[in-house]
Amino acid sequence: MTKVVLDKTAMQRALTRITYEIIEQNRGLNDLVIVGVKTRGIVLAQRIGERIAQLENTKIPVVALDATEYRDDRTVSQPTPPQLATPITGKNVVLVDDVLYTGRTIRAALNALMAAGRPQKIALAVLIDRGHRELPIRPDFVGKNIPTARTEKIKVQVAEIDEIDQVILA
Amino acid sequence: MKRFLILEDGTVFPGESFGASINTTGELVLYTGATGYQEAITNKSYTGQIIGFTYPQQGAVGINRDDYESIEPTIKGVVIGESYELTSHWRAQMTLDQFLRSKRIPGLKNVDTRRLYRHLATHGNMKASLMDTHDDHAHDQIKALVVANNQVSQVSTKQAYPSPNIGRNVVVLDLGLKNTVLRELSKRQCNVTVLPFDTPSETITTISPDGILISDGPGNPQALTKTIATLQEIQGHYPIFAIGLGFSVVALANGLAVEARHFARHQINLVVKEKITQNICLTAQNGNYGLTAIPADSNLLTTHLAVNHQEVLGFRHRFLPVFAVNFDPEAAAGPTDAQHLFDDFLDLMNADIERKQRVF
Repeated sequence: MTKVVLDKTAMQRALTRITYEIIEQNRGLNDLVIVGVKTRGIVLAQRIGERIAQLENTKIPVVALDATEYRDDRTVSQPTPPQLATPITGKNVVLVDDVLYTGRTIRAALNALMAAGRPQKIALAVLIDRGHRELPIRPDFVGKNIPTARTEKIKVQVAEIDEIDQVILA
Repeated sequence: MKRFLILEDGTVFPGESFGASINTTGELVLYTGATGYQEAITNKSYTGQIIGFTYPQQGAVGINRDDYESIEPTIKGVVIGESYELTSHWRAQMTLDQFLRSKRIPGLKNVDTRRLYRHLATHGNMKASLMDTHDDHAHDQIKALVVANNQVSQVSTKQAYPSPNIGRNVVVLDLGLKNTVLRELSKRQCNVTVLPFDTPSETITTISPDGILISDGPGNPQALTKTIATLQEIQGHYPIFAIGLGFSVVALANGLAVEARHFARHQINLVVKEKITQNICLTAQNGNYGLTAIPADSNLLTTHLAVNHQEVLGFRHRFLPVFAVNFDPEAAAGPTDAQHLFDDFLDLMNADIERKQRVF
């Protein structure tokens, strides 16, 4: 059974609120860099970047991050540090992903980020937090908490890739 | 019976009496919506005002039990074009005329409301009276009228009262609360405590709500010094959502200046752009005060803009969970496009609670 847990409007509103919260918590836009975890995290990061631009008339760097080589279920002995489009050393990084589940993807992303530079601070923004963490990782900005069973699947769909904006629970 | 609407600049609009046959004085405002006379007449934002309805015919659906925005209307008079003598609607309990008589509100019908609109739009807000004669005495009287500055203290609740439910604990600061605002909070299961406008911050701290809503209301926000002081003390401690007059109070509390509009705006279907998404929504607006711009060094961030004129209709505090809109998201009357702002308020409260629960 598939259920839409967030429709297009609810998704928009969640991203809007996260954007306001980022400005609020970061106390402005100083040294802010938004990093999207591929694939859908990048789209969400871009949308947050666009929202900040609309609001503050300032372009914040939005960077894509591929942390695949740093995953703990891959056997790359010497991962190549990612080449980021913007240096992140000394910056306030907001890491953006679609779903936070076990925390393993974020762990990989954190390692990849650390390999690429030394940020002043890293915060985590996710559209959905579905629980079941296996690592001591928690988000700073959450679109929606959706308690799930491990057997369930959460899928975030974005218009840029999936031709529709919605979050479904299957 | 012949009656007259006398404006402070000496202009006289003749018409026929309806409603209660008493003389009245007040500030004249014009409501341009085609629907919503019952909501407007019972809306406390119009306290002490005479409402002129510019849509040509009024009263077709009478008065029903569902559309009251307060129990006792606080307006001073009603001016309309044509009146429906026959009310026809399944919900109607009485005619507009009967209602106005029972509430002792005078009315004037068969007025050229188009000319009235043009006159006010050109010359700005005016005091006015509804009189049986328009002799020199009547003219002198309206010129001499001093509009009160204490409308909020007239209509705000004198005692705190609960509107119980099972959800988030919300304090509503009543500056002239509409029923529909409480209804929207009820729909979202908020457990509401309504407090008087001049409640000190200690009382709010004792209640320790999850969030605070500051309602719309009548009159000049600059007169609300106690509310402004309370707000300065509590902002940052609780998520805050402010509407209409509440918007002006939050702006003043954060060092901005609100200005009286040349021509008060009481309309539905006004176009507003949400800056962050560039989404458009139609809104009901109801107020004599506005904010033209927010300076770049302010702690407030413009979130909503009027599309057809230069005005800030929504802002948010850069660093604190505070947001406000200078339109009526609850609608009633008017379009419901902006009702999601109540959901945003709930989300803001939920996010605040989740943040506080995270212990590191």
